Amino acid sequence: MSSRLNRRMTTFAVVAAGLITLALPLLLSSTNIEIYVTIGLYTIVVAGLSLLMGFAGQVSLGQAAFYGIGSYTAAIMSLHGWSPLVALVAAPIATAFLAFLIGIPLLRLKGHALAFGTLAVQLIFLAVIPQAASWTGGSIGLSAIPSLRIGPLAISSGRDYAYLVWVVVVATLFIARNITRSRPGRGLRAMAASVSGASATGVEVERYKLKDFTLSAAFAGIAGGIYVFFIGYISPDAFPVVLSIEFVIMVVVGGIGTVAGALVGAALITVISQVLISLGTGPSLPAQLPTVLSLGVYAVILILILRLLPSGLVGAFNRLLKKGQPAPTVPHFVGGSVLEVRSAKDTEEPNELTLVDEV
Amino acid sequence: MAEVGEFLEARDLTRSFGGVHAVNSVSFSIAEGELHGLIGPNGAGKSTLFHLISGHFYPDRGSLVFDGHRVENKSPAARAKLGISITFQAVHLFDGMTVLENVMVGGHTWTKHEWIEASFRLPRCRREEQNIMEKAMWALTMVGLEQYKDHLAESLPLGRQRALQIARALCGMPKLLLLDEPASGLRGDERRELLSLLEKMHENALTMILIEHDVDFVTKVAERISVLDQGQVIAEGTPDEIRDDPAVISAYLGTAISHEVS
Repeated sequence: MSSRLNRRMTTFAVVAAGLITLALPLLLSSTNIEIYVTIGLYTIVVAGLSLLMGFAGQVSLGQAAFYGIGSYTAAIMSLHGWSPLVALVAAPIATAFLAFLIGIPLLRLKGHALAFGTLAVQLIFLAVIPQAASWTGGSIGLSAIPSLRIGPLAISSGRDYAYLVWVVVVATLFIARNITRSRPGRGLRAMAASVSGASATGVEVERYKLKDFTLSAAFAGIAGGIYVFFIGYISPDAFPVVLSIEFVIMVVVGGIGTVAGALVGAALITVISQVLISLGTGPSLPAQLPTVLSLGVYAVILILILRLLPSGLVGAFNRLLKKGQPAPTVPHFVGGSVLEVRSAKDTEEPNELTLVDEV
Repeated sequence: MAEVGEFLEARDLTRSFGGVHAVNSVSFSIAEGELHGLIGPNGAGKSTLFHLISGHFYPDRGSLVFDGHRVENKSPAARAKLGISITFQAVHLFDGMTVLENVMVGGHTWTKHEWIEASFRLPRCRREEQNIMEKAMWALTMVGLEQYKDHLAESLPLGRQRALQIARALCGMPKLLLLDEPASGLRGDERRELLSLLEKMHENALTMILIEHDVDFVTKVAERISVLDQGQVIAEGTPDEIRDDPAVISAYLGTAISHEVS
């Protein structure tokens, strides 16, 4: 009964969210539409990163680099005479391919070492782009990027991009959800819980990690591609290390490994960062204030979430919904407690004496 | 030496750690449908041998042929796909996933759909997901856990976690099931349940290797038993033959005496 109620509530929430999403671009001012598009773009990136962090158990501190690679791919191709639509489709493909190549050696690292490895990818990206000036326009960047057309449909206004980006958001969330609920997703979750258990069950652990890394890069790549057509110019400044960190914080705040968490985390952190920028910008205020302010606030948010809501906002909300339903635990029929089970798991009691009796 | 065409055949398997020969030139063969016991005192090399068969260790020397395939250098996942399923002594369940989802992971070995098919839920994905679900429910019923399918795996008591591991292995439709000390740490009634489950799987003609510390438990179900001591097979035969074998008695007595002295 309660599950039917839950399903109804979920359907209602999805329909309501859909209507709000469709209505908002008509109501928002042009500045706010920019924020709205940004939230959509970040949701796409965060959905991919969440698949990587929540399911393969790997942290990437270089996701902004993949976002940037997608942007540059789309920009360079469309400036070299390719149709913008082809360039947009190529952005995630090129990004995924590059991530695949980088991932082969990189994913031999684990945990913190992998996180720093991905951070290095971002730093290399930021070092290479200004050097390859003939292609990338150096640190000044590229401008006059043609506007996007899908067939006869010209995508030019902020409102057009708002609709485009949210179509892609729905598509990526759909893909993320489908993956988590089928064979590959189960393999990933198994792998995050126990590598030896997963490999003994037939999950090809290394290959799965690489595929997950590639997929998360593809998500960042398509978001980057849309971004560059939306903004119309591109420079390395748009992809700072702090953006990679923001992506990780969005994942954690929303709830690692939850598809809805990507949306919640991206929306919340993007809005907070906009508020902080407007708070920290003023004629008598130092120019670095917005950056310092946002780093400080992110740190506080991260600590609070990890301390108080380790499963993120969506995780906490889900638990709240489930309250009142019986907890999914099994009574211990033969007495004993969880603690006993845990200790019995680790110890191997010597049985020689019983053996001798037998012999 | 075993004849060619045995179901599982190990020849001269050797694995050392530093200077210690944990498994030293072990050869044995197992027929299809057999329930084979592998016993030995602590440190005899049982777990090393188990991991050589599962693929979590590779041998320094020797060969392992399973169902016509050379497998000694294959990865655990590749061996699982050939039909070798295992259950660990220290339970390796997937925490955070339900009992049913845990078992469904076992379906990885015989299904094929990958990321792109899963992304768009293409026909093969839907079909295989349905098959995996049915097989998982069958496996859960087999071990008697079907009513717990929606509980979290880590919330089960140890005996049921062991049963869940077996269900997960069964969902992989194995040709050979390796059980590493499935009875250790279990209480009396849980042992009896495990025993009847092993008998049920044996009746279904599943080939099994039961690695156990506890001779009493193994002699109740195994058809043939190999005894391992100091990395070598010191005896092989039916439970009755093993019980009376002087080498076995002295191996176990030796351990027991040194155990008492120390």
